[in-house]
Amino acid sequence: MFWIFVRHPGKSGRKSTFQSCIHSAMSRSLRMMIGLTGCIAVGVAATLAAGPANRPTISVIRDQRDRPAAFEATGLSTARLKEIAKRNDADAWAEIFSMHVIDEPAVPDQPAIVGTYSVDGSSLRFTPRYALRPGMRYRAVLHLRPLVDLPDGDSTEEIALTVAVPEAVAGRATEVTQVYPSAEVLPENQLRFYIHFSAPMAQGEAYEHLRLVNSDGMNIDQPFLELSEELWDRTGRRLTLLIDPGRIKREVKPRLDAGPVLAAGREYTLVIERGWRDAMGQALKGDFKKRFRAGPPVDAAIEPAEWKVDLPAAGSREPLRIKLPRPLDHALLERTIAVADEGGKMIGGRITVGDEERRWEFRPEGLWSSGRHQIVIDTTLEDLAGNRIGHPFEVDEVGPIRKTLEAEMLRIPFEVLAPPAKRLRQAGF
Amino acid sequence: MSRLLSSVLCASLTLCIAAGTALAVAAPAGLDKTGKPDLKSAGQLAFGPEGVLFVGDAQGAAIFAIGVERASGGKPAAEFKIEGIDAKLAALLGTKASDIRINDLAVQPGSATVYLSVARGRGPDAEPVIATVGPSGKLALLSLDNVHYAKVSLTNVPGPDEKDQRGNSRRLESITDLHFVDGRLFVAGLSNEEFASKLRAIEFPFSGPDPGAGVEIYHGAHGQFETRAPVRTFVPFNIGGEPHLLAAYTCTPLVTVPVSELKAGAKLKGTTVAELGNMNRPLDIISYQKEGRTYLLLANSNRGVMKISTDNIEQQQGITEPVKGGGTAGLHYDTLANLKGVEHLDKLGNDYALLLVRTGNGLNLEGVPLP
Repeated sequence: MFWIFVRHPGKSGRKSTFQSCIHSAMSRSLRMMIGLTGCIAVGVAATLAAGPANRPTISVIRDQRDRPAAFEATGLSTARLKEIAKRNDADAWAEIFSMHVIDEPAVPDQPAIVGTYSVDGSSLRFTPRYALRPGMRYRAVLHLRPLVDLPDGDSTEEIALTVAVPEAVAGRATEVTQVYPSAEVLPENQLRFYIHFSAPMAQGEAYEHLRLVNSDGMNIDQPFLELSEELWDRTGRRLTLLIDPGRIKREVKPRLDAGPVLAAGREYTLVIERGWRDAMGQALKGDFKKRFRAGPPVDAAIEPAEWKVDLPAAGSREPLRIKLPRPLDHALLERTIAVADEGGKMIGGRITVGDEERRWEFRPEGLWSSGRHQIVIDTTLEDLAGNRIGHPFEVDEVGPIRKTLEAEMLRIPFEVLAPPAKRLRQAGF
Repeated sequence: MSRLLSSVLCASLTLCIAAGTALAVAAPAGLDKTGKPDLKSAGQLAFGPEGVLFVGDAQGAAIFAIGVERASGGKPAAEFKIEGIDAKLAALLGTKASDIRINDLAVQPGSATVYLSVARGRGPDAEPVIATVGPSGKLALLSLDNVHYAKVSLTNVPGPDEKDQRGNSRRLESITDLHFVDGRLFVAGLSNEEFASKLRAIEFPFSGPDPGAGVEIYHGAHGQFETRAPVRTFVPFNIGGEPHLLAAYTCTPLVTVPVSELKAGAKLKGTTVAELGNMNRPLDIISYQKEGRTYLLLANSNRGVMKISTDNIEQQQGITEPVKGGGTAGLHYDTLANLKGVEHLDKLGNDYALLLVRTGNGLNLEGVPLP
């Protein structure tokens, strides 16, 4: 066999990776002389000739953040590439140059990664349609025969290159920041929980990581409404978890068969398990437990007439405060109550819900003007059991049933007065 | 062997060959936009008029109508089965199976092409993907870079202030199911806040941004209590020649609702035609004909697949007495215990059902003869 070391100047100092070897059986010095001459000769030849003498290579193209973004095969036949390009057949490219996920275990009949091909002279580039994933390995394979003239005796059919994308730097572990309702005693016909997380969570595995445990330490069987379309907010940081309404609603089959989920007087723990992954694939910081006791059911409609309202003084930024006789739904309290002026125009400000969802406060951006205002309530407001204003969760059909939806907004007028001292001065005291 | 390159390729010799479908020559009626739809998520799928695929986008609070290649016939292979479709789709998308979610599937009527809605990634910013599976089992991605499409926004139920006090609302509606019937798109939704069951009927072609008030669906439990009842899944169904929707509530009964009564602002109670039993989560439902009779095939979480007879469904007055002791009432059904782990199903031609089945090793897509 003949060893020849081929190095050609190439572009930008790029090196060829291909070496073919000639080994002579002659004496050492003669071998060296012939070798050296051969080297020079072939080196010259390689410089003069284009194309076929350049061995194909695959390299990784990185983006500005040094992440692998594409694979490029170089040293191919320009003419062959043009010919294949004319066919305008994406599948033809994929048969020649393709990229694959390296998976454990291997996927039988694994499809190649979808992406786009572009040709530049003697180079063929493949750019995957979607960004490569941290922590994964990928393999690019170039099948040589359609693209290059291989020297006789060379049986290399393909060249491959593997690239590993580094793991993403692990950030702070995500954790549960709050569960609503905040109270420790919840009605036995409690309808829903809101679970708040410090960062976006992976969607689609919620129910595997949620348990409701009774005071004997036993898991309650299927207490939640399990939906394939989980109820996340837009940020992916809040999950709405419903207790199976079929077991809350009286006289409905699941409740008749399996009984209610919660029973007044008993203690429970809602367990949110650590194994639940966040959107980056990391487990939570730890288990989160909300312990509570079930109290009597709440079946009455919400009565705004029972609310106590502390009115602010004109010219101040004091909060308008509503004190509620029983807790209402946290998310709905934040969204369904607002303040308007006499003409119905909304006033900008900040809402705070506190005291275990029994207090609603509104602090205006500007100063309160004196005069008539309105508290505007969207009647989708619910309490913890789903009862609404004028409309309990379960409506007894013995009474008259409305045939159409009621008005959406309830308006409660109130008046903002000047503070007493000012009034006294104005009165001439 | 790595090197930094500028992202601009040499112009004159560069050819770009993109994988994906070319823009259809003529846009189907109702698809008034061209380009790339701003899809934020791809959830429930439904086929509409020929060449139109509806995609529910809960994250973007919208529904898209997307132009796809018209059906060109094609019969499914008798033993159509793709094992590990989740791993294969993930490979196509350059990731692993645990990084994707298959949200829904729909078979294009008049063809054996299956469309799948997929999320690449698991968080709120997961990329929405529509994939196709041809009759021979070939997987491809539907390119959405340049398509004919239309969009309708699902207006959030407004609080008293149109933008809430913090400038954005956390309220989102999950779209639990979607079907096109006689020129209207029916959308079942469930809010992530108030407990409400909205069934919207949206005219297609879409006219204007607001689809109008929906219908509140109620459940009458055995004559005494009436409650709001979210719909998990439904299927269009004719009873006595009249179009109805046959729906599975989240609190489990199967009900029928006449389409003619689905007018904006109405409050409707479904007629209960079956109580399907305990600890039962209906996931998906289709109707089909066999030997002159109409049946329903219902996939549910615990009991495998149920084949439900609809004989005399029009005689069902509604189950008004409580059904106790774990039993069932109403329409007769058989449980096909051999079909376990079915998460989605659709009709595949007239003789087959297409199932997405979860096994210990992932998800399989398979065709089975309609039972």
